[in-house]
Amino acid sequence: MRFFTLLKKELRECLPWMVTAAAILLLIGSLRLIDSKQRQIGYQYRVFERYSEVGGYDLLTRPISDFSVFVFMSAVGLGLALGVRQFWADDFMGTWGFIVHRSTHRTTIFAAKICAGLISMIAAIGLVWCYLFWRANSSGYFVFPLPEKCFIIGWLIGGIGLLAYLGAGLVGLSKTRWYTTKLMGLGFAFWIFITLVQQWTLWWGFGTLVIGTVVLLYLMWETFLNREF
Amino acid sequence: MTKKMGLEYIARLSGAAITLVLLMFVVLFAQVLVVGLAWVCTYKKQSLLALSESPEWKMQKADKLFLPDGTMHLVNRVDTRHNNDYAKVEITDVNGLVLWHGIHKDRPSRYLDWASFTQNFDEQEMLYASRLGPGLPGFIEVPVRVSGEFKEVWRYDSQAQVFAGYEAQGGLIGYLGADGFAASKAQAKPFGKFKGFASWTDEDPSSAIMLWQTKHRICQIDFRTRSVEKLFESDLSDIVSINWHNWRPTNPKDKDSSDIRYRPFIDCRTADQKHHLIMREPNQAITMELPEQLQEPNQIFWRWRYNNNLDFTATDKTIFVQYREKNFNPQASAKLLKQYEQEYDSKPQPQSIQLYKVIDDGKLMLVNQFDWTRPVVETSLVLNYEAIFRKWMTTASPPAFDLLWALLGDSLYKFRNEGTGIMQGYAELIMEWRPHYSFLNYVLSVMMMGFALWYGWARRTSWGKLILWLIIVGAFNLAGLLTYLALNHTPVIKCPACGKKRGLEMDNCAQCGSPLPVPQRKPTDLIMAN
Amino acid sequence: MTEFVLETQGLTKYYGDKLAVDHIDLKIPRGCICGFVGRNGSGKTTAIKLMLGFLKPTVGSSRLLGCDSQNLTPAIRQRIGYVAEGHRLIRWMTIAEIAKFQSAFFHEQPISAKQGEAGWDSRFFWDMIEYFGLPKKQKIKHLSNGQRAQVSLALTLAPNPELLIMDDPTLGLDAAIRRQFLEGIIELIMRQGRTILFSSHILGDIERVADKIVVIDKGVIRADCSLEQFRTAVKKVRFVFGQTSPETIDIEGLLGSRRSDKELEMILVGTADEKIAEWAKSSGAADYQVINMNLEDQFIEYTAPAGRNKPFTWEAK
Repeated sequence: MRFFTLLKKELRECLPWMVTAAAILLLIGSLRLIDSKQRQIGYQYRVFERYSEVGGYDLLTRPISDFSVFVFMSAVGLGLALGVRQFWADDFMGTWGFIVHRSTHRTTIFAAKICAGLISMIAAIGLVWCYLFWRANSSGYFVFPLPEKCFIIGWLIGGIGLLAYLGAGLVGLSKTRWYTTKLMGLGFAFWIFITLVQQWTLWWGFGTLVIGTVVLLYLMWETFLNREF
Repeated sequence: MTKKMGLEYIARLSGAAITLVLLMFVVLFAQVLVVGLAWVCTYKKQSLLALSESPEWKMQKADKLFLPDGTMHLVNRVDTRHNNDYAKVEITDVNGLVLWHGIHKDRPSRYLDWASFTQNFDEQEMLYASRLGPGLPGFIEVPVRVSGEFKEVWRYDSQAQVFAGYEAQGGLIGYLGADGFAASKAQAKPFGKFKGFASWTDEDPSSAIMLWQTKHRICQIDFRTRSVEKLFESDLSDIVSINWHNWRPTNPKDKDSSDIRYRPFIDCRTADQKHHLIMREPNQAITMELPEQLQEPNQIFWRWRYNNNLDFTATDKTIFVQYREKNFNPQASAKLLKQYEQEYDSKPQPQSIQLYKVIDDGKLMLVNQFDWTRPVVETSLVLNYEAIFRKWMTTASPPAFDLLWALLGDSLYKFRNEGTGIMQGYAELIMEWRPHYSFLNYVLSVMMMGFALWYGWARRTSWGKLILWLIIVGAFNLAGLLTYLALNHTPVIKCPACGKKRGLEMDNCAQCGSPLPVPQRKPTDLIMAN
Repeated sequence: MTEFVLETQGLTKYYGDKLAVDHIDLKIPRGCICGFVGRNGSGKTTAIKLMLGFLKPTVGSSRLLGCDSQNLTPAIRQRIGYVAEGHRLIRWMTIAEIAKFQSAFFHEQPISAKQGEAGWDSRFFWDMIEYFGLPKKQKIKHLSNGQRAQVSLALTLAPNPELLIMDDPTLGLDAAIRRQFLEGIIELIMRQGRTILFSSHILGDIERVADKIVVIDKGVIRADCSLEQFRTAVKKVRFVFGQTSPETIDIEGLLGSRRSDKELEMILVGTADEKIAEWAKSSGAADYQVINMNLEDQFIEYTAPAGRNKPFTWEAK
């Protein structure tokens, strides 16, 4: 009951950001899709030059990179916004005392925040991605059906937003004085991101994401439990 | 240890490890920045002091080219301002007698042209294209046009290792595999593990033809006719490299006007040191096993400057083999390579170029051989400020890099040269930024340990922790010290009992053992017992 | 044996190398109304936060309702009401929403419940809101400071807390709202066995409700006694001399003095009337008078820093 009360409260606080991110992603993603469709036939593929060798990159296409990049940007933007909202804002508003004095364990409060963040990311980014991918795979958009792997990688990209969320949250919770150590959360999230985009198999990609998420979550939890308010 | 303490320890260790890694990157960034800034500030155009134009160097720099009859000429570029065709050249014989001079494209003789490596897209690029990231992995897609109109597209499926074709308006055409066209994916034979491809057009520029190389096959794929020709297949041994010559149609402006008629030719080398020669006009395939002295070792250390070279070509009359020997034989240790290179460059080295032709029974007949001595390589006199600054900046690098190099030098080298992805990056980082002046690096580390000890003395909570931190500072130098300061920047006060500095993490003073003093009561205090 | 609902032992807190709270030993028995006073920056809020487990002490410990402050269980927190300085509540919620939020952490319980049984009394809450004249659907961010304080009080009292800790609850409120606030507190006092610790700068409020006073100065407790004892002990006495007032003053309990040419004003703590009279006689004073001070004056004089610039020279003993 207490957990769900806290969860409802957190979701309500995340709602404006969630809706904004979803709307922006839906709008820009749809526009990019339409643009891709218009450019698809005849434009995307270059005419080969006679006698000369064709550069391999001319034949390398990334059909939905136009809007997958926006998925990435939206996920990271939403992640940062939620991290700030959930873990920094209470400092500015002075409401930590009210929240932490609830008759429940700190872990419950923390879990409610994290669950709310996760639900918001899935709703705003994940579901919109599902829609955009389904739309892109509908007839008339691309000559080729998009492979399932692309769909799964889209979720992985959304997962990068989760790293940004946890990193921002850890920065907000940290009470160290030096900026380097204070920004460690975001620095670590960035490092995991760089490692992730160097992988080319889904196992390694998701493995990297899971490791990064677990480490950040654990550090956040421990910080929240022992933090002074 | 309670569960809470256990959780705290794990969190602290993780936090410390993450902070250390991040600060290592920060220090590296600062090093790179300082080197870059220093180089920018001190850069001035310095002309290369010309290497002495001795006859030995002239000999070394000259292109050693063979005529079809086996005669060797030395072609010297006297003017390097223009590209190949328009450069001024001087042609001499092996005795130095000038035979001709003028513009390269006007030279009277045409020399033998060799098969070369011309892949557009190799395995590593395919891996990079497959990387996970915001842009999503890329696909190889080959469009086909008919009469200028885009009709279909063929995409490479890296899982199934076949091409799938779709009509431009949507709708599956079928699949192209190693055995040709198939209606379904199940029927299409996989090409095999991708190694590389090159592509070109034929007379009609509407579609590409590809030379598709895998671990065991070389296929030629024509997407317009939906046909796959298997040029070579090796069941037992992996294909190591392919070079090709005159295989694709030649641009009229590139057409050689000499009377040398080359046969389309592919030289495919397998791991068992065999060369499989695939030729056309007429179609012919020969497998050659070269004598041991001509075999290229499967070298661990790839150095194009020093590699021996084996080249093939085929004319309508014969098959030629050219072998260049550089006498470079380092020991199999990456750690000693640089030293060997310096020794190699500092002494004259015998070099040789040999021309063979393949005779009827598949053996080689030596047609011509030319030996010379490469003189000592004079070190460039351009002061490389960037290298100098970098050497000094690496004094702040972690000694742990040195230790890793000492223990894993060969593996690191292998990662850097043959690896892909992030491990390659880390290997490069360790190799490039490990301390150059090891003694100074150790001295700096010890000084930092001393500072950490002085700083942490009053703040210590246990001997074990302090010693562990000192080891970290010693092993990671500046990054270690910064990590220590960042995570142990606890406040200190003056101990009222002994007057020395004491930390506040412990109840009692680390120096004298006294607890924090209780405030003195004033006579005017109104503390009534409850 | 007296039961203490709040106990601290050597409670000390450093912020960096700055000492905020220094070895606080405090015991508050059940049923006590304790006023916790001190100047700005004296350590009141820090001490309260240490007691509630929001801060970790550098040295020392504290216990609330028998439970270590650093490990307060949800069941114990239920029994403690806390009003933070500034009445910081969740701004986007309406009064109805925040009541629902708060009530989720308690089970329903009428106000007449027995001592020690925390529970949310919905009727009591809405009665208070109605009394204050606050609209149900108004968002917290649209309320004035005073209205927010009223909501905060209602939220804190409705769960029927056994121990109420308030950090400067009347800060920034006008006299009328303050009166209402105090009446709410009195309402709580009337319930048997409730204990209140509240800090305030408004000594008049303390005087109205507290039976015990704790004075903290520069992180150290300087007074921990009943209000009556404090009121009796702290005195201001003005001596008038025929000639120049004496330079040296030797009297028991002297906190500070202020002298002009023929007058000498002393702040005395715990000095018996007889001692005052004796000194007046021995020093040759023509006359002396004990000045009436209210609690605020007493507090100001008791906590005045030494060497403060005044028209007359203020000399601390």
